[in-house]
Amino acid sequence: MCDHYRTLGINKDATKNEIRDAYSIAARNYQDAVDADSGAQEEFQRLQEAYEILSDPVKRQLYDASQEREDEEILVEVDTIYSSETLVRLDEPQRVYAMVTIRCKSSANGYQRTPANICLVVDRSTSMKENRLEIMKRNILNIFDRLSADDVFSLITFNDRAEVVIPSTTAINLPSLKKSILGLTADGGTEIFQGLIRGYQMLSQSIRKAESRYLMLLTDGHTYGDESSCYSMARQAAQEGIVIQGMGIGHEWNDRFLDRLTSISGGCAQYISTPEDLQQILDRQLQALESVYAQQLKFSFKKPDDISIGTVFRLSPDSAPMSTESPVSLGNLEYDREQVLLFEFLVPPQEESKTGVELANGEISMKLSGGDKLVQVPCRLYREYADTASEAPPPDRMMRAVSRLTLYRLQAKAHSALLERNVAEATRYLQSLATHLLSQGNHGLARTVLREAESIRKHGEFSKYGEKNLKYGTRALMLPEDEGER
Amino acid sequence: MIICPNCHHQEFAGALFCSECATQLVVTEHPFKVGATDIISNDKLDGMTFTPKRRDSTRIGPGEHIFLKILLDGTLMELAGHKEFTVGRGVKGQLILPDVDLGVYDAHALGVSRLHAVLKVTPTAVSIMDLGSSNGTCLNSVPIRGHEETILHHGDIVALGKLEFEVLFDV
Repeated sequence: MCDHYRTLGINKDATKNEIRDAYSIAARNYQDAVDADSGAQEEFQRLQEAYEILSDPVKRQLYDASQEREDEEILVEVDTIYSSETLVRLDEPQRVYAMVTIRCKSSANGYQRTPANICLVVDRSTSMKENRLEIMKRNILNIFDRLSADDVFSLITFNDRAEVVIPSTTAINLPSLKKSILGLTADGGTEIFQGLIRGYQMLSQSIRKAESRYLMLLTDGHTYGDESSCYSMARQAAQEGIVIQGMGIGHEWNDRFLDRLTSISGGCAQYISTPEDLQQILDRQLQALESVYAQQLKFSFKKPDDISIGTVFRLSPDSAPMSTESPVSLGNLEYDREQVLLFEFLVPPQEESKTGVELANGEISMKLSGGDKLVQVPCRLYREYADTASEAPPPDRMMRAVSRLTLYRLQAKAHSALLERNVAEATRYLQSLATHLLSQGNHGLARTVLREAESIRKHGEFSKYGEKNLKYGTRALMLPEDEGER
Repeated sequence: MIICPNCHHQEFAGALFCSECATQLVVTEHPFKVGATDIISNDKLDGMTFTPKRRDSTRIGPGEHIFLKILLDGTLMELAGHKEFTVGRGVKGQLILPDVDLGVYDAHALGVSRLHAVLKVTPTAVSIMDLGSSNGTCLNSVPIRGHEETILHHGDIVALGKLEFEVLFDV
């Protein structure tokens, strides 16, 4: 049976008005094409049928019931909340927030685990000396112990050039390769692309179909001149379902680069300030590979030209800024951990005639792991207009998320103000940030912020680790409550 | 447009928080509160809590920090890094700006002078001295004498003109 909701491009919870609007717009579009082309004729009939059923409450109910039985196999659920129940027509622009939650309705129990294929790409430039490389080695050996027998692991190191230390090897055979890790030494510069491309090749050439592929990049420095090649490689990797995760050690790595690189494939950049951080983050990532329900999760959408998207921020499983352009790649969907996206829209002044505003319309698609089955769930972000402002306050979840996004941005504003040498303004932002953190009971981070405000006042710059502490500290605030504490 | 009541920044209709100072702009059933999540794990100062009740002791305990809480909006400012802090209202072009600048609180209308008072911090106590301000300084609603140091307690309410803040010691 064909999906009438998808034919009309609306959600399952669409209101009568939405259905009518969607039908009249689609019908108008087809009208012209109908005479010329018989394919269009068929499509038009489908549209008619969809409207006939969905516009009649009784028929719609029957149809929904029959659909539910069909959907039983598909375990994905998408729901959306907004900052406001309805919108009021204004002759000025207005902000609207939408939060999309994608979750798998089943738990991982009883499902067969998809084997993992992990390629670890490690920076071994001179700056990795001291004890960073030693800590790294210990952690690699830990990974060995945590892998399952059918997992595949490879290790690439890079400075100005890349070296394959361990080619793709089944976990069972790894223990005999421990020696090659212990012998690693640090020297040379940092050219991330060299390492990335070898890592990508390693994963890409795997012939095993059902596996989750992860490229974990660990670096402590800046790469120069090869950023754009890294981005295009990440896009290619995303197409093949390879998720790139980034880990930055210390304070000198390029956070903007790593944020962007990882978000292309739906991964995330993490900040590592202590050896414990590294172990925790690696643990968390290995754990994420234990319960992969689907891969290549992405949200593809179209939006009207006059709607602008200020920010797309992922709040779970990691918190990170995402691409504001369609498609938004989200990596893997885990059984027990939902993916949550926060959209910030700006809606232009509205004319009287419209009954609602479409913010974005598209679908969330993914490939079920352990096979090639493609699942698509329509997702439409839409708000209806009402004559009077909605009195219901925004949902708590929404308030919480936007509040923390605001705090994260204060930190970014302080950073930009400082770049323009405006110490007073930067200090003011940090003061506000600290105040709110204190009032929310987050004294540890508030202290860190106040220390940085002091550092700015005295020296005109952040302390050595300050900038990253603030950025990743405020970012971590956005994680779901039970995971915010590390 | 919405004007932030705290910092007067303009925000788009529909905004939930002020983008400049993070003040909440919509009314919720309960004032919106979120739980604590301490992030910076190597911070030894984590887990501090404010002691709400007033103490009679003027002594600052070991490891305690001093905060000023502006009663208008609950802003907390820490007094740290110096022994003396001038408090007042910064004005553009003024040569000596106060260390604690209350200019954002419409301080002029509330009768705060440019250099209104000075707070002195020693390892064991904190005191305030009015610098001959036009509208004077009150401690718990009682005017204090100008140019004389007065010791402050945890929980004291100080008013510069009509602008009030609370003094808090905290571990």
